[in-house]
Amino acid sequence: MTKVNENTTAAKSDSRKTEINKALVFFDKAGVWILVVCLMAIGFIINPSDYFSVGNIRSILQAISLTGMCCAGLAYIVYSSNMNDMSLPMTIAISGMVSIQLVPFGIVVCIFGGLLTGTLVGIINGFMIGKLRANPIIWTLAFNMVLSGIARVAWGGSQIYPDVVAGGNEAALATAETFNQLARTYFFGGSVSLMMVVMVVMFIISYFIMTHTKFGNQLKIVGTNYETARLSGLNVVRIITLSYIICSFCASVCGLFYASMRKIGSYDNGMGYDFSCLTAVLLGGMTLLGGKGSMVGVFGGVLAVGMLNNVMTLIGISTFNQYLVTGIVFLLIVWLNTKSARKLGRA
Amino acid sequence: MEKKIALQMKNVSKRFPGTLAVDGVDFEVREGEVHALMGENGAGKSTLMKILAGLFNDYTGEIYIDGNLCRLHTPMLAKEHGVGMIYQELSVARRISIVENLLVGRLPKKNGLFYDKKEAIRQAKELLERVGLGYLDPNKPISEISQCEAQLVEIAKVLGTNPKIIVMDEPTSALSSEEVQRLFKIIRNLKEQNLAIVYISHHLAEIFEIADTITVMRDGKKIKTYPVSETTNEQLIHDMVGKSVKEFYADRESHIGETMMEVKDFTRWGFFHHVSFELHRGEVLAICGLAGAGRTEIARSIIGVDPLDAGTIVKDGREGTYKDMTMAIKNGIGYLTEDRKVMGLALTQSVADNILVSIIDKLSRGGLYNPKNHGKIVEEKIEELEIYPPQPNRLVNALSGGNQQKVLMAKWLATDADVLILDEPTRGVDIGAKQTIHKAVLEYAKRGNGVILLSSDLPEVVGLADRAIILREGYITGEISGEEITESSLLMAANGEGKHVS
Ligand SMILES: Nc1ncnc2c1ncn2[C@@H]1O[C@H](COP(=O)(O)OP(=O)(O)OP(=O)(O)O)[C@@H](O)[C@H]1O
Ligand SMILES: [Mg+2]
Repeated sequence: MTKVNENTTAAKSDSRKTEINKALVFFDKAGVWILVVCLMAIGFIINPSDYFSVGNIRSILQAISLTGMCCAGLAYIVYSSNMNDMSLPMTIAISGMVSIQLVPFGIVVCIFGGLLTGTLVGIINGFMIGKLRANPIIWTLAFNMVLSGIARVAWGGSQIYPDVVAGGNEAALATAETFNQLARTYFFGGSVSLMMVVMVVMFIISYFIMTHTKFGNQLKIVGTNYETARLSGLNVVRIITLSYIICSFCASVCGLFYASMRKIGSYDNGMGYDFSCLTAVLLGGMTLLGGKGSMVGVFGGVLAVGMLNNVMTLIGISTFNQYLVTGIVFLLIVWLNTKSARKLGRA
Repeated sequence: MEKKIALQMKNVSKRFPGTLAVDGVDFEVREGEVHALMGENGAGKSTLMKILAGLFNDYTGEIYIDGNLCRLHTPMLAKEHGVGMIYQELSVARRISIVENLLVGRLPKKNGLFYDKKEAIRQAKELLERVGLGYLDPNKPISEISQCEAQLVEIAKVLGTNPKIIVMDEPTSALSSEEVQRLFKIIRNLKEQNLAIVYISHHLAEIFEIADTITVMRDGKKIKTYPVSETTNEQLIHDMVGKSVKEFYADRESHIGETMMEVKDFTRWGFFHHVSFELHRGEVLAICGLAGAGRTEIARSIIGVDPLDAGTIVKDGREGTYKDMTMAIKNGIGYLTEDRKVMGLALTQSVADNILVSIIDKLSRGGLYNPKNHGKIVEEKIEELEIYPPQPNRLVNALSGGNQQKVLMAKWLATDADVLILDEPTRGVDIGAKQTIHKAVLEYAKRGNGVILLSSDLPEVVGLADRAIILREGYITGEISGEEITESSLLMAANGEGKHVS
């Protein structure tokens, strides 16, 4: 009799454990969106009167559009298990500076010049890391330094302004004005900005690339296991190079809007983006091991970081303390990441 | 006198989402006994042993070690209770040195602070002695020693924790027959030291040689336990599979056609020299030799991932070499790697992704590709190779070892390569699955394709090969064909004896 009893209790506790596992799986999938909802709730509690006002929502979205653009590209690097692109800040800065420098040649040249600069950075990164197998962190970190050196030499260490570059030329001044308006273009009576639209479009395209193209599906295998990918006949060099090109291209789009928003081309445009973007991407469910996560998750991650900052501002935490909080969030995420990595390595 | 019971598991169960992998198993091992754990792929052997090694904190049931109830909820706890585990998939970290690997987590300290290198080397040497590897330099990185040595290093590492119970999960799947003998000597030695040993293997011959007691599992349940002396081959297979398996190798009727590929004067200095052979349509050509004879090296040079000093490949009217795997596949050559975990599969992706990986290029239209549109190919392969459970979306690392191997095979059968190089294609698969894979290989050859088989499993070579070339220390020393391929002729030739050696 007792034996039977024992058995049923054993069976019970067993099934309970399974359910916990299911909950874990759910949390794994929806994790960041749960966080988004929580932050939303907190924000609403703190500021019930106008948390959901058009103004606040717009300011959240506005604040995340720049990081969002970068993340839509950085996601490829993380996904390919190359961890992070440390040259993001200078890619952002230098593409903004180049495009401002090109203001006298008209808006088209100016925009394309900026994007081309970023893409070039991506090609070099891709060649070094994809083809020559340089260490991705060390190389991009060093390249970031080199780029900042080049920029300092080229512009004599000073910042540049669109209208100053334009000089007295009427047409150039008009171009400078158009450039400055890039970050200030709104649709629907000021509720949606061009920046938001560009960011969302970038995410949609990235989502499509990741799931519906040859490149995206091959990148998944490269990110999961490089050797396997190579021995399955995938062109790993091309795939990794391409992911760096996309990443830097996205960073240069961000760089254009950044420069336009500040009306300045400067070295510190994009400072700190290397880590803040990585935080968002990891928060969105991608892992440093690569091959995991999705663009939908990354979008959630970007949103969560933006809302966290918004909530902190609402509470009245000073900017410096905000850095501290984001830093701690970053450490926490990396810790969680390595922990799950260790589990994967063993079991 | 009955020996003391070292380990007793009572009514142990472990559930994964969707699978009851171990279902109320009672299992006992005595001191100084080699206890074989047998069963088909996915029977739950590895899972049962992982419970013992403390990998799961959500098992149910009771585990007694030396009569004391233990809760083995973390690997640390299991180690403290004297459980040493040698995993099915080698867990030897690749790039670090042997000594660091052996003493990981317990490197000796000087003055309570500094790493004592001398002492570490001494301890490492001592452990290596115990497994007959005294000649190895402990400072060498693991990646530079052979798989067999790595396996023995792994055993040495476990011995270093002074275990009472040692679990070996398919330790011989990567070893050649004389290496197996080497391992057995060590096992007998451990047995004399009164250690309890759990031994998992799919090789019946090994079991009858080394084991004292056998426990058979099927579908997560324990079926039977009996002393080795009280059972026979047929009985054992019957208990594992649940029905009798008769014919082991399908009758082979081969249709050998014209030459389809020719390897000419292949040389990589220090690895293999002046290797030339031809492969015909419909032929299974085995390259045989002792471990270290250079088989895998030749394969890796053919597909262009390892360097080559001289030689060319003639195939489809083109003479040359391939610069990488992409090019090899374009020229119709596939290579099933011997190590499925490190370079064969993307373990954390789904079965479907893994099966399709090599044909993404071919299936894509103008750069667009959606795996969801190709479910039919995946389902076909799952069915052909009887991958269990048959779920395309299951992650590969949630499959049992043997089923992972089937996924690897499925991936290469899905490509339309007309030459497949199979490096240990049935590593770690059970009898039934082996037949499935063999059937698939023969079917593939019958369609007019060529197979180059590199296998240490002699019965497999005898059963499949139309022709075998013998490789010894990097040189081709002989060739055996047709009916003359037998286990003894292969063994003799591999050791440089007999009439087939030129
Ligand atoms: N992490 C996991 N998640 C879900 N199911 C799993 C997981 N690991 C194993 N399983 C399932 O548990 C069952 C038992 O697997 P186990 O690895 O113990 O088999 P095995 O007897 O060792 O087989 P093999 O001889 O092929 O190694 C299988 O059906 C397998 O699919
Ligand atoms: Mg197993």
